[in-house]
Amino acid sequence: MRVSKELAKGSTALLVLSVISKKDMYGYQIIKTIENASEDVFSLNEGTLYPILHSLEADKCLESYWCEAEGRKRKYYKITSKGLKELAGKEQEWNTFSTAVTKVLGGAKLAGA
Amino acid sequence: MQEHNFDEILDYLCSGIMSKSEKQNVRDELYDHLMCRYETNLAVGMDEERATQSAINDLGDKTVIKYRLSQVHSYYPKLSMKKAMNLLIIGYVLMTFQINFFTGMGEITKFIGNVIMLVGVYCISKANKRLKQAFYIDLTGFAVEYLSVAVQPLAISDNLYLSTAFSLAGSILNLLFWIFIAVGLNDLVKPYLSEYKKKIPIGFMGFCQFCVAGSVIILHLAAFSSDKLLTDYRDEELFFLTPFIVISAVVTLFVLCRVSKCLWQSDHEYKIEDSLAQKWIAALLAIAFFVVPRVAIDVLLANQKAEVLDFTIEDCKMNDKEYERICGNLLSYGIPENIVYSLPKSEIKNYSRSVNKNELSDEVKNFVHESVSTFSTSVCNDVMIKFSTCAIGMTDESGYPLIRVLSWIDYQSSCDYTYSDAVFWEYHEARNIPLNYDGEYNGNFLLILSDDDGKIVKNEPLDIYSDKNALTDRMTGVRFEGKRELLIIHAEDFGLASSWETRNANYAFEFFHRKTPFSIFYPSPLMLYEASDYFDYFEYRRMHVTSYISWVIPGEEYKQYIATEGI
Repeated sequence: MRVSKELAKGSTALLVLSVISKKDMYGYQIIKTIENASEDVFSLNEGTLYPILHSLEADKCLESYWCEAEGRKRKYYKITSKGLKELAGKEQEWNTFSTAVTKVLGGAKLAGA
Repeated sequence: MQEHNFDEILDYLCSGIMSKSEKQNVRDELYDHLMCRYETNLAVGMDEERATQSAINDLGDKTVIKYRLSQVHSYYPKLSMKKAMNLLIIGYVLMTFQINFFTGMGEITKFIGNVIMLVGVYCISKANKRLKQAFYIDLTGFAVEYLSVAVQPLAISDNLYLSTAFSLAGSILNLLFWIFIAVGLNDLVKPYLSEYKKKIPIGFMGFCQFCVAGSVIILHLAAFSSDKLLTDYRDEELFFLTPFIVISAVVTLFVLCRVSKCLWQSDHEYKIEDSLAQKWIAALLAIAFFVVPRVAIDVLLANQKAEVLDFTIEDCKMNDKEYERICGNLLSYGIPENIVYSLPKSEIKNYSRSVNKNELSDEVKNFVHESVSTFSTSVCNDVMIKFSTCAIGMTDESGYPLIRVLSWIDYQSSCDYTYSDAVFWEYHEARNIPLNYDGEYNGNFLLILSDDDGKIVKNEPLDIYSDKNALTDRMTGVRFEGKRELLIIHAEDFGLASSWETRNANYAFEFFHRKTPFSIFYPSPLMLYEASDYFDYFEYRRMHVTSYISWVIPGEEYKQYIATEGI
């Protein structure tokens, strides 16, 4: 099952920061990692990932470096200390949000039961 | 691994990125992405063509990607597109409505608005090519428009149209600017319109601005062909433009606000990498475009001194209307008709400053009558009380009345100054008394300085100073010839270039050595006319005359001041 774009909107930066925090990655790898980790629930519009990456880089949450791979240039992203702080903040935000949503949904079911 | 050609799609996606190096980097990165996807597609059994197409399709909406990339890679100051739009709106409001916070502030407001708007356009100009072009057009138009002000001191009868030509060029650039800004804004908000769900009449805004700018251009061209300047149009002649201007201003504000709101709601924020200093550099450059040529011209002209040329009465001409007016004035003072009409025109011209007695109120007539006894002819030996019916006059040696004169003291104490043509002022007093006393100046005002012996003082420094508490319309200058635009001021006061009191002055109070006024914010045309031409001009044209016959001195020839080196 895939979630709607509206629901996924706003959490993309969190997902990106999260996967890069574990390992330096390039764009396509990030997409595949998110897809695999979420068992295809999150399927990014591939092209829209790059403006997000560049924006995070401009905000100094990410750093990048170039490598040669398979005969072409490849840009890898690495999380910065600012990025880690941002990630921690977003994770906390998300936990608060998801807990609240779960509570409301649980409450609604109880009320309906 | 084989290379694959994704040039077309990569060109499109990166077309909004201005920086060449950044564009190449993004291109390399996207190429790597597309190749990764392409290879994966081949690995799952797709043929090459399908693998290519699928890789491209999986990117998502190309238009959105292109715009987001262009926004992320704009390198302007740390100013979001939304804030830049707000700058644009503020600048437009100031520029269009030229709010007069206090007298004379309109020009300044317009200038500040121009600069703010320019900075706003500069900040959004990275979003796409049309906006970038709009910025360059705006910058050029800004420079050209103010250059038209800067060259005004050079505008003499031979090249009157120099500043109008600049002004016309400025109007054409303004028209182009609105076309480009409309197209650019349309491109900018297009990806977000479906989410915004409200209509933004950008096309209509472009049309309105096109109409206004087009009308101004037509007026310029009409002015060229009818031998006058755009500034010569009277307010009522330009009134027809008002509805267009108001409508276009309202529509433009509406559109700019909606574009700004649409960008807010689209939740996109584009940060830019270059330093904050760029914004200020742009503003300073814009100011420099205006200030530098103006200062250069002022400095150039300031060194040029006027010289006095003899000017004979026979050289004077006047049109029939003026001739009849003066004759009427003379008749009103009881001078016999046969004498008046027997005078040559050159003689009639002597009384050009006279006022028709019948137009004076009884109060004034009484005042004049009473003041006869208090007027001292010792102020000037050439002055005699001559008018048979109670006016004070200055005559020539043969006794013909020239102009009616009051002494300075009488002038100050009078409750109505409209009857007076001139004021004698003793030089030693004039040096110490502020001219902006609390009273209105006479429409036909003429200041004649005399020494203690009654001799006319010329070519001496006059230390007129301004009363800082005085209203600007009673400022250091005096009205000359009843034209508000013709204010006389001591040249030394122009050193205070930022002084509001000096902004309107366009005639330096140095009789023989006139320096060019230095006024940044207000066009001060310094046009010199042949005295013989003066009365052939229509009213509006006379308003621009700042130097011609300065005064009539009994027993002396007319003096005309013209400057050297083309001034």
